[in-house]
Amino acid sequence: MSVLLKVERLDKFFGGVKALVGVDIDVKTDEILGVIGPNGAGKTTLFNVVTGFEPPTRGSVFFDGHEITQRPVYRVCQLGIARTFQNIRLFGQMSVIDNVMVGMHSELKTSLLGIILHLRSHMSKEKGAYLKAMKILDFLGLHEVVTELSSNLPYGMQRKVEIARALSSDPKLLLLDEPSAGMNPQEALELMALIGEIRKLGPAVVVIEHNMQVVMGISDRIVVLNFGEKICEGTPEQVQNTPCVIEAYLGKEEESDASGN
Amino acid sequence: MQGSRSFFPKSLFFFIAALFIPLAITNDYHLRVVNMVVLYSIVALSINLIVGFSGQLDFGRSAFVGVGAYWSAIMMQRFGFPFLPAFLSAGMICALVGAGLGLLCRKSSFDYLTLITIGFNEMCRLIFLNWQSVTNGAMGLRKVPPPVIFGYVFDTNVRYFYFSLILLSLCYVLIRRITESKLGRAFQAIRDDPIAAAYSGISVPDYKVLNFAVGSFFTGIAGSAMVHYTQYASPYNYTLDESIYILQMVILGGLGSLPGSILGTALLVILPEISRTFYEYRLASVGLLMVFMMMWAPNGILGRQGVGEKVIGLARFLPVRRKAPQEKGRGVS
Repeated sequence: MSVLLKVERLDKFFGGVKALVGVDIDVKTDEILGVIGPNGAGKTTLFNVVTGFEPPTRGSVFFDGHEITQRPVYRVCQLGIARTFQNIRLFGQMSVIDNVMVGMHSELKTSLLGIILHLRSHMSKEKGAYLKAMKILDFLGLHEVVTELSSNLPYGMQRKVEIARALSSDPKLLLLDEPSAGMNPQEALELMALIGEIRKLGPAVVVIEHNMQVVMGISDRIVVLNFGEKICEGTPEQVQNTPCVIEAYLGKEEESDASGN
Repeated sequence: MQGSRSFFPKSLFFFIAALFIPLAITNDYHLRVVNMVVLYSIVALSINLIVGFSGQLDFGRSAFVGVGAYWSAIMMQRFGFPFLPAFLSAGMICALVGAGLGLLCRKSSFDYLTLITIGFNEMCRLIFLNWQSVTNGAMGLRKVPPPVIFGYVFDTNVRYFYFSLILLSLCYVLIRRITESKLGRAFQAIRDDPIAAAYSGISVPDYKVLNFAVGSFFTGIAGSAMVHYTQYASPYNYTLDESIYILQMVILGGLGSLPGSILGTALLVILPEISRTFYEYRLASVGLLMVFMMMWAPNGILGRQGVGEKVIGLARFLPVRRKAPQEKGRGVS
């Protein structure tokens, strides 16, 4: 397995706040990498910097043989990175199918002339995009709401539409930011199964997750961040038994003793 | 995409019905009002493309109407261009100016873009007013020649009606095609969530510029068509008040709804003509209407979840309620 995404010595400071300090991460093709850490550990910032939404203070990011450190978001995404957001970001006034078709924006190459003259090449591409979007929505069990306004859907479905939109561009790397946030245990289990299915479609997945059951269940490897630093990396079993991870989540043993007394 | 198939017969029906308007309306003055509705509808459609679909609140649209009008009037009057080149170049020039304005607004957020467009409107008005040698200043350009296409002169109200109706239909079809394509989806994505749009591979600043250019093209040709109809270009026609008034047509009809833009235009052009009293207070009364619309029906008449859908929903709701007890009764017996 080759390395798909390589993050090298990444620093991101917001004034005096150190959101990321010297983070090194490799993501291999075909793997699911979990990113965990307490609130404010820099997980979402990592996604933002990797995708070019925020420039890094230092360090570099390589994706699929390209350096993408200084590229704007849309160019990074055209290379094959897609993401979902911690607080859902859908196109609220557009239908579900249109939301998904927006995701295919960069692969639909049509000219203004083709659009206004309804040239056959344009129409067939548009039709192809429509069918592909329907297929993805079928896959995610959303075929009944394709014409619904996305803002009218319940929360869980909105999450799925977001995943559908991310998948529609056939990404090589999918970044999921807390996909199970706000879901009940049953829904979280379904989500686990879904991420397993997505992996079969091809993309490598990096998932930020607070639900330990989900992240331990699906990840091949896990990276633990705390105060912007990578404190641990390994398989779920290794990570679970590492003292510094337990310390980051539960605090030091002496401290808990002291508070107990 | 699916919409175009089911929608087309309906709009075709309206087009055919509209062809008979000059038979029904023989009064010259009434037909003149209808012509203004048709011409303003093109402007409203172009505004809808920018404000309704792309979410860029543009308060300076009448400046583009003015640029298109003055350009094609001057081309024909001073330089003796034939109508079609003058007319199309007016659209092109407006697209260029629009792209330029879009480039200025590339990175500015919503509110600043609005301020820039207000400034642009004022700037254009002052240029029209003060560039004596070209625009004839406050006197305006008189006796702008009527359109001549392949030797056919559109000089009567009836002839001009057909000219502007065909123009409106063309613009309508083109704008609908744009909004139903990848381009239109990108515009709407930028309106709803620019960040998620960027993450879908859309270059948000570039698409804003493109949106301004395409929208301004349509505004420009509408401006040109208007000036050859009224045969008079005055700097007092292209003010901020006028911009706001046209914007209200779009909002009343429903942002994001193309038929809505035509309906809103019809209402706001015809109402002031029905009573002169209304005309005197038109800005005040339309302003009041806007306040109520924003409070109770922000999506306008034909917008998504607007007044129209509510009324239809209500109409559907009534028979269902009547039917339900009957079925229940049958089930019991």
